[in-house]
Amino acid sequence: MFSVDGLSWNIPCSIERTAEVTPSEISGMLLDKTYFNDVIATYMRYSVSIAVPFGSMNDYVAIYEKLTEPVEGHTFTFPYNEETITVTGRVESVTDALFLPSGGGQHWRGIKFSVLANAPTKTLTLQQVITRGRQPMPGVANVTEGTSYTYTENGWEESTYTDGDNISW
Amino acid sequence: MKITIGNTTYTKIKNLSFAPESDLTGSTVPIEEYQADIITTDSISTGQYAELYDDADTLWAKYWVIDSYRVDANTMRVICQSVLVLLDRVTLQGDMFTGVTVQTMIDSIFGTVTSAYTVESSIASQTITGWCPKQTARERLQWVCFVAGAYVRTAFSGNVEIKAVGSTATLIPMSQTFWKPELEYGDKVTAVEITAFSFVQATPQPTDEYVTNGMEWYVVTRQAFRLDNPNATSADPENVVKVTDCMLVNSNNVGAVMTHLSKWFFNRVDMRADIINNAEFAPGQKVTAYADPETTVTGFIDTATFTFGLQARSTIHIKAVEVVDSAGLIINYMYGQTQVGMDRYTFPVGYLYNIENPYVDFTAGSNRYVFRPLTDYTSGTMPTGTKTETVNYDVALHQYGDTLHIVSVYDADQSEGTVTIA
Repeated sequence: MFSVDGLSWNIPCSIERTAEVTPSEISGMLLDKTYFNDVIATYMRYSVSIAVPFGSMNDYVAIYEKLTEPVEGHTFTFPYNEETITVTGRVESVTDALFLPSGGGQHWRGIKFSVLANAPTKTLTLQQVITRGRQPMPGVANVTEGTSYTYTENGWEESTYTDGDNISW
Repeated sequence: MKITIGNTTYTKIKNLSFAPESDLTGSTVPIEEYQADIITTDSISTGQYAELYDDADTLWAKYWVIDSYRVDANTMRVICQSVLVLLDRVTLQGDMFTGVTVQTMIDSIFGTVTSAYTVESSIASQTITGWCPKQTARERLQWVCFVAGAYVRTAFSGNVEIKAVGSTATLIPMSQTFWKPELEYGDKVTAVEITAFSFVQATPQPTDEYVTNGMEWYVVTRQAFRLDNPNATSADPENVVKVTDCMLVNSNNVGAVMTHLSKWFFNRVDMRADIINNAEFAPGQKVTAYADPETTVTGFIDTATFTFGLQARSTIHIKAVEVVDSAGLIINYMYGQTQVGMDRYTFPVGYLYNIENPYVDFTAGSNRYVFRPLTDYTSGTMPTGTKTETVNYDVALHQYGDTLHIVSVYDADQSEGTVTIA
């Protein structure tokens, strides 16, 4: 299920998402033999393949005409993990095929299109990139020395320390 | 990157080009510029300042819009040059100067154009004696810089800065240098020849050279001084750099001027390198850089051409390159008698290093340990020959399966309620 510019259709489709972690042109190999990866941001690419049952040709045509509008981009809503994500993205091309069965007649089927987001879904500011060092441990409040925590579905929770003798060097 | 003009900040920028330069010889005062395409429907007029900032709000340039035109319905192209372009439009009258300080000369050069300039104190207190003809304010600035051994910098500053050539070098780390710098070799200069001037107030004879400001007449006497390149032999073809027309050179300062010029012209080894440069290294700066992972050199940046991503990269040109000895530093991270990590560095001899000790992540079987350093920094002076340092660590976190045990924590972080791990 997805929507384009506020319109949605209840049609079967398969959706593939790619997160493009996009580097800039200034990335390259450094003198200390590490690679400098200057990432601008992460952009989502969604590839959708629509399988439309024969009966809803009206919906099929509506989707096709919507996606092929010569605009800078559309607002799409797609599934993302447990929720949905709204991206304004550009459709580069829309492909489908005309099927002519042996018994006569013809119909268009199998729209495939790819949307690449214009704005990033994840980005770091320049200051964050420059000063980035240690990541905080997520979800623990009031940490004190000598305490143990166990990671559960609720995050880190206090527990009893169970190791001591299993340290191997 | 973004550009602020008046009260508006434009963040949609394309095709930004910026290549600041400084002439360390003082023979020219380059007018630096940046150009950009701004996606906007606003009309941007010339004759105002346009400030270039990066995304961390560091000022890169405060230049004057000298040309702007619309490229298409959504795009405006702006061309901005440093305030020195305004000095080109001011003509100063010819005059004789006797014992005037550089500060006073610079004040009269910038005059009514702008007050956004600074003069380094060692330059400001020098005195100028000699004649300046009727010339543009920019030419007069170049003459003053030439005899004072100064250069002009406008990049990364809201001011025009008149600075002395530096003596302390900043290190460009290997982790900021791209593979791989190139050394360039220029033609050998065999000597530097400068004409010094003296003036006597008198009525000139028909064959005398003279200068006048309309009220007084001065007879001019020229004398050429020459400094030979000690590394040139009689086998080298004659290649003399001559400066014959700067009338602020006199017998008192000609020695210092020749010594200053010889620094650039008697050393013709240059280096070109690509570095990660977030407004850190500017033209005019003295730097220590890596020619390759084992060789360190010192020199002076004279041009830096930028390309932009999230960070910024510049191709820098370094003049008057000299190889300096380098040596290896090994830092061992120890927990009691056990080694938990190590780092290696190559630094130039004499370099004062101050390296932050990292947290170390160490996995042994199904135990994961995070070690914290007991001292924050490792510092020292790099000697000749390999040096080994040791940093002691304690266990901060110990993870076994699903359990994480907080063993020891850095005190200051406890009150914040989070433990930071690398």
